[in-house]
Amino acid sequence: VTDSLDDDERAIRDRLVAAVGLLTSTQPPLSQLERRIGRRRRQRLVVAGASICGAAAAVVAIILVVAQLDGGRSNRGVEPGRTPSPTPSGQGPSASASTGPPGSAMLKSFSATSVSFVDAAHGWALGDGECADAASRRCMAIARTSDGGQTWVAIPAPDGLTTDYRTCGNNGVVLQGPCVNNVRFVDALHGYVYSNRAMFMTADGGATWQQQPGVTATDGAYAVVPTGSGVARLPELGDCDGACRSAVEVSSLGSSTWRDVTPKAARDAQLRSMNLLTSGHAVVLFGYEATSGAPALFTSSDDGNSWTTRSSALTVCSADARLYISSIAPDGAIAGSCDSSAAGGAALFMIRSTDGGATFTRAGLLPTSTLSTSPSLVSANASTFFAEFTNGLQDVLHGSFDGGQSWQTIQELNAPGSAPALAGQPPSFTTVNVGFRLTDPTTLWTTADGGRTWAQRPIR
Amino acid sequence: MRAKQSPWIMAGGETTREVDLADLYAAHYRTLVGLAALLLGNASRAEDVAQDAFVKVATRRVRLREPDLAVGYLRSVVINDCRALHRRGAMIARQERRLTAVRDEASAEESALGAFGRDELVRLLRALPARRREVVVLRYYCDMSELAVADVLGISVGTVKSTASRGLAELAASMGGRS
Repeated sequence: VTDSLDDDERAIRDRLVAAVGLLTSTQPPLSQLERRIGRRRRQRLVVAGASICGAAAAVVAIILVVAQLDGGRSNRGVEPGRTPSPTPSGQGPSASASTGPPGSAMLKSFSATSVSFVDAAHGWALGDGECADAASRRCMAIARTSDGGQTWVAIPAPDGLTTDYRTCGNNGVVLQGPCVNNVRFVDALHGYVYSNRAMFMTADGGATWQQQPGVTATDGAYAVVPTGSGVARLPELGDCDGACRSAVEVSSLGSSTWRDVTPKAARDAQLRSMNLLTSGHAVVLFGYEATSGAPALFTSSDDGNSWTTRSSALTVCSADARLYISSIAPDGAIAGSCDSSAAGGAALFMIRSTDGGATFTRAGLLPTSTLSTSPSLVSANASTFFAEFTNGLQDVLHGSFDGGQSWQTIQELNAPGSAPALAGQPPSFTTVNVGFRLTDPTTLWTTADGGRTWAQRPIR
Repeated sequence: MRAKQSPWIMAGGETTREVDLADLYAAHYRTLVGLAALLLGNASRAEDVAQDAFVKVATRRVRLREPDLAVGYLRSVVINDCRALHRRGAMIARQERRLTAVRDEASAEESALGAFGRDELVRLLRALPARRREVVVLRYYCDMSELAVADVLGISVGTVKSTASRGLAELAASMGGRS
């Protein structure tokens, strides 16, 4: 190469060699290079080890999350002696593994009105907060947690929702958009936000929402509950004077088509003040007959496709007592109460059924409180019950772990501010051990031991 | 287009000649330091860049096939590292200003570094566009043929010729104008 250079090129070459001459006059010993090579190899080993550990931890975490999701589904509402159902359509393993859209920062001053969990880790909260583009306005928002409520992120909410969710137009306020005040997710992808005025469904974890058709002009629902094969709803309570009907509707997950599965006897009796409860494939419909006011109970073990009338089982209460069926536990235990105080009696009994509503037995007196005359009663399993009293400023939760024979005080809470701000929501259980409870708009409580102990999880 | 021959064989593969790192180091370290210094226009990181190239050779999971190809690989590593350092030039400049501020007396080595930085040709070289600087340094300092420069830089021989010619003319004109 050197021979082919002309004079100018040689001159430049010589200048270049001269310029670096001093720099390259000495050469470090090979041992210095070898030490450097040794350091690099050790660094590589550390990085490789950390990568392997990280990958192993990720695999273990994924397995745990999938196991929790599967466990949550199979534990939720499998009746005693029944085999868990096959996975509902549209709910394959990939759907369970996904958690929907990536989250964004929570709105400031987020205030929750409703919370729903599908297992110990995955939950959603519906509420409002300061709009991201204008702090002086409030915007509806949905928050999601994937770690049992320790951290929350915002996911998209349906467009144009009104923030008048506390009344949802029921006090005559003209709403500026659809109103929702309840959230219910069935799994990580399929969820509903609703009120008696409007209902929206997502099949992609909240990335997109579709408004659902209803049976009234306002297209809402009073209750949305998961079943073993999809979801069920109460489009009406049956309380309006002849203008609405008593109905139970079901839909498969991800579908906007709703099928009327109302028991004929319930429709004929024009059931009022209905309550719809589900646990796996078991469905319980309770209400009062329009004419006689007598309590009526219907149960289904096949997601509402066929019904059995159980009203005769309710004779456990005296005829003049007010009976109410309020809860079904993840293990299928049904709980309710008999209140004879209005008829001159002195007792508020708890009743329960562990055979799917075929028979009920008295299970002890319910606790009393000065906060209110009747508690919200829920069951976590056949022997664990909770009674919650609130007056908006104070909230007391009593628990019984011996089938209602004795009660103990679990929580006594005061409203965080001077205004009535307690949510007054009793616990909900996704399995016999895992439960959650929204006590005020910013405070969630979770339990992993069937309600004996509760951990506080601020929603923010 | 010529198919570029890989300088590597997979570990465990057959080879006729193993590359000896000590031989490579003894024969090419100084040239690579010079190459890095001229490409960077700055001598302070040249030894690091050259040593890093050897470290990369030694810690590759595949082994070198031929010493000649290994030298080409070492040059490529130096060129790439110098380009990366240029991209981070502002950061390096800040670092050096800080070092300069805390050192009172220059060592003999630092004197050499300073002399290199003050060399007129190095300053002119530093002012050339990056591609032109690389061609000039590889062609004239490393004594590489136009074909070899084209191979290392991934450009055509014609581009090497024209770029080297323009770079040389620019350097000559600048040096002539100042002398």
